[in-house]
Amino acid sequence: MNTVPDRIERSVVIAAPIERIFKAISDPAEFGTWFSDGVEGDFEVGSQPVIDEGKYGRFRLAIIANEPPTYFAYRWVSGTAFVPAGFTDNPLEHPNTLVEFRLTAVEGGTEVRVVETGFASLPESYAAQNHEDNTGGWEYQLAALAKYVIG
Amino acid sequence: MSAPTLFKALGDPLRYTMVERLSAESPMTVGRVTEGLDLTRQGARRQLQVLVDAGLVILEPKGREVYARLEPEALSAMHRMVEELTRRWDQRLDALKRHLEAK
Repeated sequence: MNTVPDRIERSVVIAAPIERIFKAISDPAEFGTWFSDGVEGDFEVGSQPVIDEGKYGRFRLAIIANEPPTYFAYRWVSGTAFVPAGFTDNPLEHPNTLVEFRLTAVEGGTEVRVVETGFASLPESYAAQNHEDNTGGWEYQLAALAKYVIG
Repeated sequence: MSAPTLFKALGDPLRYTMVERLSAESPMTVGRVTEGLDLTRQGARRQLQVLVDAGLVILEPKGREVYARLEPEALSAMHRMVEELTRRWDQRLDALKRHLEAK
């Protein structure tokens, strides 16, 4: 609790073959059903598709790696208090976070591990873009964020 | 004081280093917080002041020294924010699992 948080790491085991899961993550049409409400563009390395997260806004991804069936990664400027209405600029031109999906075959299915890093180096620029200074302090900001995150 | 202000204050490698040092040991003299950084004495104080203005760091004069202390509430607010984002990832992974195990 005494250090600056910079990293999120979560995992889940899914009862499906690794290739099947990799497709659900790396195929834009399928990604656009469980993660977002659609995707514009492709997921080739170097591409910058835009995903629609509905009420959370639209976000541009910069695809960093697409290595079937074990590793998929992108950078984005994501849903934090900084960008309450989405972020569709080129993420690589701004401080961003790196999202990495790692897939491993395990007994009973496949482990999907997600790591998102870079929070501590966010950002000069977004605070300026963030709408008017909030005057209610922590709780206001966190309540807005909780509402944003939980919906 | 807001979460964006906090992260903005950290969005600089020198300031981030100062906060890292303080998260290892706090309070610490201003001299030690800024030691070895490629900064003039005045520049170091200016960067430290950004952290003070953001509410991350508190300066306390004690005798001839000035001590810098991390504001624990600032860190815990950032932790809460990242925890909320963690919950969002849990929701996404749960959606992926349901998507794949449905049929």
